[in-house]
Amino acid sequence: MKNKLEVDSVFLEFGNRRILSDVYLKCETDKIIGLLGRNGNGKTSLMNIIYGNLNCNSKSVRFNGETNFKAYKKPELLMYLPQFNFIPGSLSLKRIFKDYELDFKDFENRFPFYKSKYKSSFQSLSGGQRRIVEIYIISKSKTQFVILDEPFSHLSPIQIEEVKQFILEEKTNKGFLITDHMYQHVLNISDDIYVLANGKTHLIKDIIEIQYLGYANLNINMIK
Amino acid sequence: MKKIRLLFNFYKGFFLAPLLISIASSALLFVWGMEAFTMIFWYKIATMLIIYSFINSYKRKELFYYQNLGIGKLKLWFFAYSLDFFFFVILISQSQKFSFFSFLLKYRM
Repeated sequence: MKNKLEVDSVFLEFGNRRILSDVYLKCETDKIIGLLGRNGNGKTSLMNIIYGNLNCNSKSVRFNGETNFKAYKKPELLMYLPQFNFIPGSLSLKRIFKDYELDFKDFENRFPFYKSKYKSSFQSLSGGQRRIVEIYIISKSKTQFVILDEPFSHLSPIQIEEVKQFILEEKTNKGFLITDHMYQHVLNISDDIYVLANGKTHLIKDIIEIQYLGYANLNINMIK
Repeated sequence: MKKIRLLFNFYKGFFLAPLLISIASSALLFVWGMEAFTMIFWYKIATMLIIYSFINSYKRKELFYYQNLGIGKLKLWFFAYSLDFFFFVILISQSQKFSFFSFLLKYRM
């Protein structure tokens, strides 16, 4: 079954500063949606609004047409990877995988480094290793949609390629909304790209629009 | 069952400070008697608020771990508060039986 997540009518102000005013975003099963935007343009705020963690002046978040203001109460609908490490350091990988009802064997087959780490605590891993565990448990869990906020930060180039491959495989089961300033990786795997600029989302039809909207200076090879 | 374990796990991360406060409250009640109960009660409430506001900011990032498992902030804090207060009530109600507090009597003003 194809699930659909739609977000619109989002209006967010911090004091007198308008952050989000004209947002439309659609994500479906088997699609990866990339969300790009300059720092402070409201990407993380928008993700928190979709997740239900941030109150705003108005919003409409619909899962298969049904409005849900507190998506975090229903992990079967949506899971969220924040841009920082969120797993308590004292937990072992064994505990984490049990909590999220995932098979550690599948994980270590994909990432052999973790073979001897089943009983290790999360805090004993390096920053990149922790991030891979977090991306894996969020992306692999039984949920309809996944939001990934800066998944590629702190990862080595090889790890990024592994994660991209894993996300591409997993998208057959769910929809992804991804933001990261390593935008070339986001462009590589995304089916649709939105740029958030001046409080509005712009669905990109031609890659050159990313430059017109002031997000990045594309090199000539990318445009071709 | 899984939810209870997760709630306990959250509380386990910082249970020591509020528990020590409850033990101290019990010792104060042992030394000063029931006339000090009101003061001790408000001492516990005030320290609870201080500890919990500190933990709420210190462990803010970890809340996502539980939210992604369907347990919101409100549930986590309600459980932690309730359990902490339960231990406080037990320790306070039994304070007169804790004879090992008797060494404190010589410091009584």
